[in-house]
Amino acid sequence: MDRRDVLKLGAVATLGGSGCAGLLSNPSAVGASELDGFLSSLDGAMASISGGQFFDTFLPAQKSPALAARAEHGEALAKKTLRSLLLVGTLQELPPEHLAHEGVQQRLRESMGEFDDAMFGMTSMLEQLSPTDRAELSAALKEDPQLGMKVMSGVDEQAATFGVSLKQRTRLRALSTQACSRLRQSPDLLIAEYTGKMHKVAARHGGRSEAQRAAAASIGSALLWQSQPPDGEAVGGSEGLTPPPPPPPQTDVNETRGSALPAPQDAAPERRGPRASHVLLTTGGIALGLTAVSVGLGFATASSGFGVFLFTLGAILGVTGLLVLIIGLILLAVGK
Amino acid sequence: MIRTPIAITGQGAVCALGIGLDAIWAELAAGRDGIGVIERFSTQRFGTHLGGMVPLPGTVGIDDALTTRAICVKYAVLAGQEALTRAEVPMHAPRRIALVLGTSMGSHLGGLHEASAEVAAALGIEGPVITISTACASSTNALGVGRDLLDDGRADVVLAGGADVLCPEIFAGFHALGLLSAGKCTPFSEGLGTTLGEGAGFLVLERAPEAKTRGAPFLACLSGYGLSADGYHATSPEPTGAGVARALRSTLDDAGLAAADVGYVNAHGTGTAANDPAEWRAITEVLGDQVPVSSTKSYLAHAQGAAGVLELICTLLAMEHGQVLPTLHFTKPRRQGPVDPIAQDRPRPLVFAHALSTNSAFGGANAAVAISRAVTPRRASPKRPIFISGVSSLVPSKEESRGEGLKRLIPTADTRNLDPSSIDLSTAIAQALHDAGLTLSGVARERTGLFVGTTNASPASWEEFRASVRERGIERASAPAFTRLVLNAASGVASRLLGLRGPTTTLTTGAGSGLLAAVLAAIYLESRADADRLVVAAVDELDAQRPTQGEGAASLVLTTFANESTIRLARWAVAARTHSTKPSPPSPQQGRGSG
Repeated sequence: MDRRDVLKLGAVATLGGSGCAGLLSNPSAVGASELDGFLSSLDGAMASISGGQFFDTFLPAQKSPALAARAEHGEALAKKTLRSLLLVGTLQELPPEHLAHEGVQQRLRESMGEFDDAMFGMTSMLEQLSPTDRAELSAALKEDPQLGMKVMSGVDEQAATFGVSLKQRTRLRALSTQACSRLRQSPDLLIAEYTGKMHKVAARHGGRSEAQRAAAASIGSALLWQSQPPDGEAVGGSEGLTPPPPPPPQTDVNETRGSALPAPQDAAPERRGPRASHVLLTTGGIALGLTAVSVGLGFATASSGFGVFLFTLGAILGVTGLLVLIIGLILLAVGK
Repeated sequence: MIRTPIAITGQGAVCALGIGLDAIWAELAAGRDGIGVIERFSTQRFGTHLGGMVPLPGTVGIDDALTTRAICVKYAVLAGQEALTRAEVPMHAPRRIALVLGTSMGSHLGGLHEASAEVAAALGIEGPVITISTACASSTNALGVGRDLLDDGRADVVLAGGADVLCPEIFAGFHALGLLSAGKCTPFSEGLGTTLGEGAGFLVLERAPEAKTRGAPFLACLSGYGLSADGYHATSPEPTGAGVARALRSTLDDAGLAAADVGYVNAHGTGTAANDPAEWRAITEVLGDQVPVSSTKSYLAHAQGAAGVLELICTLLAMEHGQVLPTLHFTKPRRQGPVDPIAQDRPRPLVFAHALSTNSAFGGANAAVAISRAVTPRRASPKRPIFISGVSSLVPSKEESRGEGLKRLIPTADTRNLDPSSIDLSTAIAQALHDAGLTLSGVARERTGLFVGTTNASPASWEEFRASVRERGIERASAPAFTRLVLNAASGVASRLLGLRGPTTTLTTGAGSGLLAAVLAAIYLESRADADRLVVAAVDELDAQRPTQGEGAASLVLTTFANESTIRLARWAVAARTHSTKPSPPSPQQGRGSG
């Protein structure tokens, strides 16, 4: 495969291949009267990601069953991740008062399942890289230490073309620099460190109710509670305003490493709601050392209850997704 | 012969007005300043409580050098990321991107070069990393050094600018010097004193043709720059403004501009009794008294080493909107002040083709830059051969007390208030000049400059400052010791004692600082017409915190005049920060460099 094609793939994938991003280039300036139109544009961009074909162009026509299965899985995961990234990244930039808008909240609620799939799918994909994949990754980076940055440079160029906001592109640049720098030192170590940390934190801070309480305590505001319906189940929990239980016991990372989806320890399945999205609330923030910042944002958006959620999800998907994107594209670039 | 124009293709900033250019311009346009009561540390013991602090969450409560450094790096990374993104700089050729970071932080920050290396790593920059530290002129000086790196083919993209943090020690030092204003600073207006601030700003510089080829945005042209030394006093500018005037003339000459071409001057304008009149005299002497002059410190406060680049960025933002920035809070003009200080509360519509921005600093270092709205071809002086005409090295001896050597060479030198770094540096330079057979006088002093490489400001002065705080309280910190905490304090002393009033800079890259100073001096001298000689020197003083390091000083005299005893300096190079497994191919301009 031509390297340029690989870059294009990355760009197309990251941006959803839509060109709709131009409409979303400056979410922070969206006024109240423009919000519905803005959300329609966002839906359009999300739909174009769903309808895109990212892998077919770049894979051989005659695929082995194993490669075909892998490509199918990869494409599905890529779409979920990109949709999640686009949604979270874009909504995160909206003025805080718009986060309480029903249309925004509805889109977030409906996407929670996809968020989970993206999050854990990405982590799982990192873990499942075979020793051969990892060796080839190391070899490729040794041969051309700038390969990761070349991939991301192409992505950034396309981002500029599509009118992605400067804030998002600056963030992409910062994350890319960090990820590529670490990746260049040791892909194995970075992947192991990241996935290990993910499991450890997910196991320790998995409860939605715990996340709610932590946010409420930090915010110290009645706003969060005001946003809950009387039965306390607005965001999927069913514990209402009961006092918080004792913190869950610490979990040894070795116990959870390698398991597909570590179960939160402080909530029974039936009380966790339909999906495990809540794990992200604290996982993302703690894994990235962003708890304080996310609480700050949570304060700003307390009335919607989604402040912490948006920030941590965006951050963690940003890093994991980026890591997978870079690794995947590097492997594609070297003909894997 | 025409020199390749240098384009400014991106900019990024964090300052008291906000984080990012959009936020900053909104405040500038509305005429709102960023000065307020300092909340990060207690100012209870001081007579003033105002500062221009960056409104960045998580920076409250700093109380140690490590945290100060972390904040400084954070500011720099934020500004650098914005600049690189706005310039659409490709991410995949980091070894051809250089970082030139100016900061006035001295001992407050630990190893300055280490902080710069952290910034470079966070931004993915792997080309040369240079830290310029000429106090409040640092970032303006850094822009000039960045320009030289591009001119000499040492990089394809340069991220140049500065970063500084306001910490209690710096606030206490300025307070002890009596330089702080009780209210918001009002440059050129009644009400003396300055207000300190902080922030970071960077410009992306590229050779204009290459920038155009890759489709980079074009903001303006960095058409020239100039440096000079007052050689007068540790903190006060030369009252006649002669030092600033030399920097301005040098800038005009470098840019190929006439005085009448300049449509606006963004002055250093600190608001102090010593700076403003001296600066105005210099502007009047070089540009006449009709040019509009304003000081952006009335918006941002004095962001120390980052002041120059932040003020230039504000000027560029205003230029983009066809405006110039006012001097806010102006009430009643002082006797020696601009005829037109743009005394209003909003930017003034004014389209100009060329503008100057100037800064002056402790240690008597001055720097100025010229920007032009359009690509401005520059007249090139023929490249001149460089020779070494004098050398010296000095290792402090136990047999001879410090300063005796200096007294032998300069009998009038008063060494009583000098720290070991200043004495050793001055002695080494005096020996090198003696070795070269030079006695400087008259115009020769103005055409002889000083480039210094060092690792740290004097540890002895730092200890003296800390002891004064311990014994008397921070509100009575030692003012003399404080003035010696900037990295260029020793070079300021040497300039004064030896009459070196030409271009001056002080830089650090750690162990290679002296050699890098020699390289930058050679690049400067080779292509500029405003100096005939540059003295290059390196100095470091024994530091109890770093017992494995030694101390001493060394100096070279570089000259454009050859005689039978001079040695040709034929080649030089600037190494990239890290080594990849595959060396990048040399650019055509790198042919001369061999280490």
